[in-house]
Amino acid sequence: MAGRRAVKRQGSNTKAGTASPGAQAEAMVLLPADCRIAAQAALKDQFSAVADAKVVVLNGGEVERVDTAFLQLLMLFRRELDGRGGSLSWGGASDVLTEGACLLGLTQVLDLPAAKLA
Amino acid sequence: MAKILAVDDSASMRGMVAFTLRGAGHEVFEAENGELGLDAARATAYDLVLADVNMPVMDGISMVRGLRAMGAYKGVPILMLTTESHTEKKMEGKAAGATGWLVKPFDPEQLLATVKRVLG
Amino acid sequence: MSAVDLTQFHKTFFEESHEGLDAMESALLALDAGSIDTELVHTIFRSAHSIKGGAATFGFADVAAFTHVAESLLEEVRSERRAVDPQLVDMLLRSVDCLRVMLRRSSAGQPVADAESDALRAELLRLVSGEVEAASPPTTDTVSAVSGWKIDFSALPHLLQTGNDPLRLFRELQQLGRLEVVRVFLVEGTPATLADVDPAQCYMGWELHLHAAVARADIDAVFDWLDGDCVLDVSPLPTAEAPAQDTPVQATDTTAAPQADVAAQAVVAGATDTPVQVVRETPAASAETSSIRVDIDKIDGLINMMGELVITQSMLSEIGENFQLSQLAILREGLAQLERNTRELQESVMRIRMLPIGSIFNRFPRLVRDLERKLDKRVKLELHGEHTELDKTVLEKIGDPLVHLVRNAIDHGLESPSRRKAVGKSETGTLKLNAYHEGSNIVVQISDDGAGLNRDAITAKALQNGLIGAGQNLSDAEVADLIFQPGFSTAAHATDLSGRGVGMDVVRRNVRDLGGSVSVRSVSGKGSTFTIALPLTLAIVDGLVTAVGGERYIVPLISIVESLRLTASAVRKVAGGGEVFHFRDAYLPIMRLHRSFACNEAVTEVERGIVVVVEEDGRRVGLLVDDLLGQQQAVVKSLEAHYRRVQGISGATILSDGSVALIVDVGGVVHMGRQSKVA
Repeated sequence: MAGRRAVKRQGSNTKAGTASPGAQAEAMVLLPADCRIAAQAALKDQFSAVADAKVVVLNGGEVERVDTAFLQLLMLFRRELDGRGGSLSWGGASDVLTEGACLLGLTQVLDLPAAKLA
Repeated sequence: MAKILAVDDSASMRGMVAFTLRGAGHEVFEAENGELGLDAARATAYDLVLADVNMPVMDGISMVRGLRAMGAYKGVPILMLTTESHTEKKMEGKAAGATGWLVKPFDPEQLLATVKRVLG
Repeated sequence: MSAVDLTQFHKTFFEESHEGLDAMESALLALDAGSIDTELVHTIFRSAHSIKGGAATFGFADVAAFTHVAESLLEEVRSERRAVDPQLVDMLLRSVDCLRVMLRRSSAGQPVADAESDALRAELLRLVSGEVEAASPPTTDTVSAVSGWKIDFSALPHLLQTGNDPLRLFRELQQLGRLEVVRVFLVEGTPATLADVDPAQCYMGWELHLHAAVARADIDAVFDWLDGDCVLDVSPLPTAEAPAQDTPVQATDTTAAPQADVAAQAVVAGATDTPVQVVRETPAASAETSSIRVDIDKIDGLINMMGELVITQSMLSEIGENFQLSQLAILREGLAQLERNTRELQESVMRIRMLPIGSIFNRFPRLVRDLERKLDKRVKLELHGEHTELDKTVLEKIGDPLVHLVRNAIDHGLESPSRRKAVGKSETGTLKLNAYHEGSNIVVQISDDGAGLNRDAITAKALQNGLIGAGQNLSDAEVADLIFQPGFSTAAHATDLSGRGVGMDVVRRNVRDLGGSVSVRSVSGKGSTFTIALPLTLAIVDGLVTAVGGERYIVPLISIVESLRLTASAVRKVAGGGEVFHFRDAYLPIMRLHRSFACNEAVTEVERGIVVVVEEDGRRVGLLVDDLLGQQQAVVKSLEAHYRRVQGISGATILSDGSVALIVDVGGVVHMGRQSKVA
């Protein structure tokens, strides 16, 4: 359900066929509105597909619902990127997202801006 | 405002639960046994399921097991409506995948507080 | 006090509780017969459990307390810690009775528990092993001196699949005070690569500091659903932190307070509007508004018919738009269709009120069982035609007369086992209840294979009571009819049962009130059959419209034997001022309706009016009316509800011309005739 529009790759490196590590300089993932547990399998696939990029930009501006499963997946993705020499940056983060991350103590781990409400 | 499925064979309990939750702005669907509850859950994605334990045709425990077997209900909160005299039922419910329970008798405020608690 | 008005659910609660008790009773009786069926035990348990839950929820504490004990006992049966024996079944049946009374009192707003229910409850309590009383809620520890709590919390992998979410838990903790995440970590055994991660599993752990002077129990309450889903360790924070947290606690308090307020407002705003209206609509006292459960098929049928009616209506209005004489045939066709639709709709609407008689029949296994024990008789009960449908009002009112007839059949009809054996019958008597449709009537028969009516005893008693004169030669039917006379009883000494103050005369009166009749056929030594004939529905009567003076009276078609014009010579005066005429080998009395109802300007000469021969309970009389105006289906309106009870009149209706007509209560009129004859 997180589906079709969630993965957008920028620039000329959009072909999935460029399989060699590091071929993608930057990839962007648009996070869906509902990022709760039922969406995790699809999100994991999307994260796995871009795990070799140098920089992964997550756009979480439209995120309306989060849960621990999702924030945990972000944390594990971050760990994966670190291990492969990539990095994570944010192209947008909704209040729900930053607040959830703050509550679980993941603001720093995920390099998110501090939550306004927490 | 959430979509809530209320499953109980007692029409008065169901009525009370549904009325209270609707009053708080939720959308409530009622089912009178576990089997009908599962049917309803298959047709619509609910944000919360409230399930009585003792019901004819299919009891609440079996229904919870059935719900958790559906991909769409993996993390959806399911509360058992139970009585304090049945701690072993609570544990059985938990083992089946229930989120928690609401101990009967409860009044509308307790119901709303608990629902608010799980829906966040 | 609750913002939601719970009284609106009381009626449903009482209804379903009575249904539950019925189910419990049937299951108990089935258990008694020796079958230890776990499904039956579950049914019994479930009923008690539901009643208890509902009673507690809706504030019927006495009912809840009583059922709680019964349920505990049943729990022992269900978990096979207690065997089912006749004493237990007996006690549980008595509990069912007791609960029925308690529920009835609850619904009437009367005090519920009494010495009897308390005694039975104590009896049940004695039987239950172990503690029964609900464990009192854990005493909340007084807020300890701690300034805050250190919470070590790590999830077990399946945590998220229970629908519990640490995010939600932390939010709840935040409500208690300032929550500081000191450390977040992945638990040991977390897969090393993303590829191996199962995103539905939880691999996280936290060390939290909750800066709030709350009780340990408050924290436990947050985690109370997570037993077995996490590893949790809660310990007081070292007091060294104390000076630091004064301010934050206060700060969080102020942020938490408005939130709580918002929640409370939401509850109030969401709930008050409607219930207040509901309260206003319901009369203050617990006036019993009865409701009915309708089969969805019946509703669907109605909706279909309504659709057809709409089609017919639109067709007719189209014709009416610019009508030409050439369309007359179509118009007639349309009107015929309208008539058909209306009739079908009427029938369907009436069917809504129809309920199966089974709900009454179901009382009898229990009653028979109790009577067998009390009277030392052996009875095989046969029920037939339970699905026969009856008007709801009729159904509610026929229960007591039927109970009386069944009691009577077992008490007076069926012989003792030894006596039966002596006359060559099987020791077990048979009592048969049968219900079926016959024309526009429902017939309910209660037959036994007992001794039959004792002709000699009945005539002797009637003679003694002055109901008949000496030497009067009575037909079998007339003898049988005597037992329905007020005050008649043949039992040598009043048994516990017949001592309840209801005689056969009351049975007949109750049945008559419903527009029905009761009769008995009996063969000496072979048994008796009581037959109750009831109208299918109370609300509609097929009637003959008659004129008496300036008034219209409707005589129910069902009672009419024939209408005829008499010549003056056919009428004979008898001693005492009565008039009779010869009709089919019998002399029938003439009842002048204008006299009975004091109508002016009516036809007084018999030969100028019309005599309508009516029959009720085997008695015939001729009613003198001015004229017959036609047949009509009349919708019966209660006269009692709008005016008062009038002897000889069963109700009123509105005729097609808008005028009001009274419906003749044939039984009542026949009775009036007899009274005036005696006088």
